[in-house]
Amino acid sequence: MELTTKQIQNVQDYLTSKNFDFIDLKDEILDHIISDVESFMQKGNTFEEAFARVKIRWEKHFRETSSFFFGMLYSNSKIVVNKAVKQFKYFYFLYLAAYILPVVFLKVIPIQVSKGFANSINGLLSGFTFPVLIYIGFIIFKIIQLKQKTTYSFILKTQFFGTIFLILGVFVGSVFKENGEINPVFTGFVCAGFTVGYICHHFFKKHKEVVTKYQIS
Amino acid sequence: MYQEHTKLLDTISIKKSKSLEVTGKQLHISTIKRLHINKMGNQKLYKGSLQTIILKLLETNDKMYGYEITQKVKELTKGELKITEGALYPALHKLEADGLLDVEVAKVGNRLRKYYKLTENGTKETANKLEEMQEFLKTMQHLVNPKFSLE
Repeated sequence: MELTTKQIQNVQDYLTSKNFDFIDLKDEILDHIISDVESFMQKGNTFEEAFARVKIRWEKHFRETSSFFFGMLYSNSKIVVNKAVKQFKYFYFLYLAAYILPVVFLKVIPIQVSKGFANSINGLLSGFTFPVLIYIGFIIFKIIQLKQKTTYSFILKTQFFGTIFLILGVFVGSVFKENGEINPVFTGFVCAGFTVGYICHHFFKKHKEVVTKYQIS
Repeated sequence: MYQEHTKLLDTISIKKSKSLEVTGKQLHISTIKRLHINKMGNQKLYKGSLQTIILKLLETNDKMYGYEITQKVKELTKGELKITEGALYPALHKLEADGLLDVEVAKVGNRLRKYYKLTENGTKETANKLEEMQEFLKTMQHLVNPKFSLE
């Protein structure tokens, strides 16, 4: 027994009421819910009865939740957060390693360089940081401007704040101390900041791929 | 589903009822709880094999969609294993992200349907996973019942 267009619209409205509009998940979940409803209707239930039963089953998947990997500020449907965590877990540890490893290394083995060399590296870092910041700014603009939401755009939104590490590391503090010794904390900030840039690039690429894929189909 | 079962069982406990009539038979509440716990245990055992189950199904059926997978598993296991949406989709998305599954979206009736099918790597990985599973089953058989073996 196939649902009518009006009944499908009811199911779609239910998903919209749950703010579930992620294009990489929506069609699939909509199809699953409709199949569930149709199955209950085949057993003799009316559409209203069947849909009510299916909603009870799905309610827990649409419950607003957050994850340790993204922080309490970023919450969404459980089904979205679960997918996002699976995609992001590896990058979270990469991000932590990018901050912790240089700090630990430079605390254990302090490295001192000449003032001239420190100035050259500082110049290079500043020169390299600008395009990275502009690129991240472009991604932020695109994500805000584009209407299509994907799990990847959710991940991206949780990462933008990390850009602050790059600004702190290069423009507020300095990778080198007065005597030319490498500053472990700010080096950690710079490494974490560039890693955020890489993470943003990776998930923006994934987001674009999904948008293109679903536009074609 | 199991949370619902647990809630139901808890409600029965609160009422201090010692037995329950199930399909004409009087079952003691401890029996019902034990059956429920056994089924929960089985589900946990199956959970570790979910990816292998999905890959095997796709190897046999060429392409399948999410709901179809849950129903096929239910049918093949005579209702013993019910894959929940909460377990199925993260597993499918992980396999897709790992490049083992490819996705095809088609219009079916008045809605879109997302089909999953094995990639070339997915086909190779299915063979590996099934081999691992056979090895695991053999080892378990030797451990739990050393007198009998599958060979």
